[in-house]
Amino acid sequence: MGYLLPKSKLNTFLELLMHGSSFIAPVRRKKDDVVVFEELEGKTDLTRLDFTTNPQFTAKKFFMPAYEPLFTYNMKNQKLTDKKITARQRILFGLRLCDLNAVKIQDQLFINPQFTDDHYQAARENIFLVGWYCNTPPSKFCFCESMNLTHYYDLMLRDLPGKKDIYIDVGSPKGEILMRKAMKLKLKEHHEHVPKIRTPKKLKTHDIRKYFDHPKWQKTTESKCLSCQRCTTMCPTCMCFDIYDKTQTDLEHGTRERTWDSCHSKQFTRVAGDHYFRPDRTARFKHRIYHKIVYYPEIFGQVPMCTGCGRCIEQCPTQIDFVELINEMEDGK
Amino acid sequence: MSCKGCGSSCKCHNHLQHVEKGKVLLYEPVKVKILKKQKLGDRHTLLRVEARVDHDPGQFFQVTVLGFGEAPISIASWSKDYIDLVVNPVGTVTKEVIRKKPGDYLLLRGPFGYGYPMHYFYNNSLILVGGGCGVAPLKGVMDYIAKHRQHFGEIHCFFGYRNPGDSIFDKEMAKWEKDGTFTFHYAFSHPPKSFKGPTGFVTKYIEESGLSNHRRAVMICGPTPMMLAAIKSLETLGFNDDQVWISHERHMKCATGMCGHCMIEGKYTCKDGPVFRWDWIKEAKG
Repeated sequence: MGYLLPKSKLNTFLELLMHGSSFIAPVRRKKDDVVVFEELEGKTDLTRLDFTTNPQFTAKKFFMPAYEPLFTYNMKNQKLTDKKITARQRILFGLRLCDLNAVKIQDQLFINPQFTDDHYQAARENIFLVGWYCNTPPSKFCFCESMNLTHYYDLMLRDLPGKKDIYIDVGSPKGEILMRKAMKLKLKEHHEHVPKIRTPKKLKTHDIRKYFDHPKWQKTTESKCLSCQRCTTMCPTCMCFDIYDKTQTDLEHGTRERTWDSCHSKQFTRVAGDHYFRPDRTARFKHRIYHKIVYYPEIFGQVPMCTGCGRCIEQCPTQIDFVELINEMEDGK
Repeated sequence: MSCKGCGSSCKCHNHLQHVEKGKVLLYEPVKVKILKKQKLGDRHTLLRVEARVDHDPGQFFQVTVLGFGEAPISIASWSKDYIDLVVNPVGTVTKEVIRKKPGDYLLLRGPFGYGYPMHYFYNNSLILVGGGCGVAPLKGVMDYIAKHRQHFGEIHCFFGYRNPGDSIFDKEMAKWEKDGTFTFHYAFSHPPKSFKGPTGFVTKYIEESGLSNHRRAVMICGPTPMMLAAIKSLETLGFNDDQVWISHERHMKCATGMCGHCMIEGKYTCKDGPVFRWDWIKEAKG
């Protein structure tokens, strides 16, 4: 099921969606000329939209902010004071298929049959996912073709090449609700197959367990990896977090917060007695890659945790390319 | 599967969070009363809290002191009415926890993880190997066995401590030794010079005992080097990897398999553990 939207009416369509909820879309930030997901302030902001490249930062902060209060407490009488969860209705527009699949992975992790993360769930239930289909891969580092992506969105917009229309694919009942906002436009119903994305880069194998002791890991990472945690900050599926108490200077009121954490930091595995389970950089780097490609499919089924957006490769200050590394191992170089 | 705590169709397996009336958030600790406080040896403190919640031996609670943080503490009892927590004051939270008095309230989340599968061991003989505060979770196992003694064969306990002052639950152990519920073998690795008792590591006594692996399971809890050494000496006695159950220790924050801190290869210590069969994680390299 889907609709056809004339390209000239795209802005009108977005204005209708914007009405009544917070609208987040990829825009080019003026101060540093970087494309990021930002909340648009009004209709005039629509001119700032930018689809030329994949946004540098992912949209994961709208699901789990970098700093999120879990509850507030009173330290003196050891009581919880405020545990209310607030969530705004948001429309995330312009997510590529890789980022949409990252949302699917987050959902599997945080809303599972055994435990449900209340804070994540509240944010997630209020978010509408509106995708933007990549006709051509936005970056030379993309490798999503080899990561078994699925269709996971409420709406998906595809700029039909060589035609005057944008095809809107409805992927869920939530998407149907969203389309009601644009009823005024009287869009034509249409059905079209959303094709697979072809990317320049490919990961040759997912079966990398046999390469765990390959000397190339040590050779590449020990000399190059700085443990700067840039890759885990950029990654759309890296959702590890830390929980700590932050007490104010009156030593009475405080907040239990959670913040993003990174498996690339040494502190990540510290236990009492100053013992570290992954003390060296190679072990930490390998843990990230193996969690994404090997461990995660073992727990949740055959889809890897990596969605192939290529941000960790693009953003790495020392240009560590794990896809190239694995491909070289596979080729026996 | 319905919840044993609230009776509704939620899929939690009986957590304090659900026993409490009303909606309690996943990260919100629940208030429980401290019934008893007791010093165990020179280092450890026992806190008995009033919490009626089903649990397996080997599971753990997340203990909160607001303003200081949260720490995982394993359960050292098996009872329907109370829960014993043995605290070794080594970190900021644990140092604060032991300052509480009977009648005060403690904030808990849990119980979390999978404990020792006691039904699985029915009609078998057991060996318990504990090191230092690793004896505390095994005390839960012993409580369980003492209440279901007819289902188990002979039980040997090998407990190792640094010095005699560290040993915990002396009174209970002495009672059990007297009535023959368990057979005890102690080892003290760093005793004072005047000490006249068994010295050295537990591994020595495991090897000396010459126990066969026929119809026997082993439960080990202690520091990682000690567990590895104990497994090695069990191997010399002919034990297989699938007869050994160990309890792992990792840094953990959420205890629900989300924060990622406690991951060993593809397994979360908090959710899939902390008790693992040795052959499940023997090859684990992460």
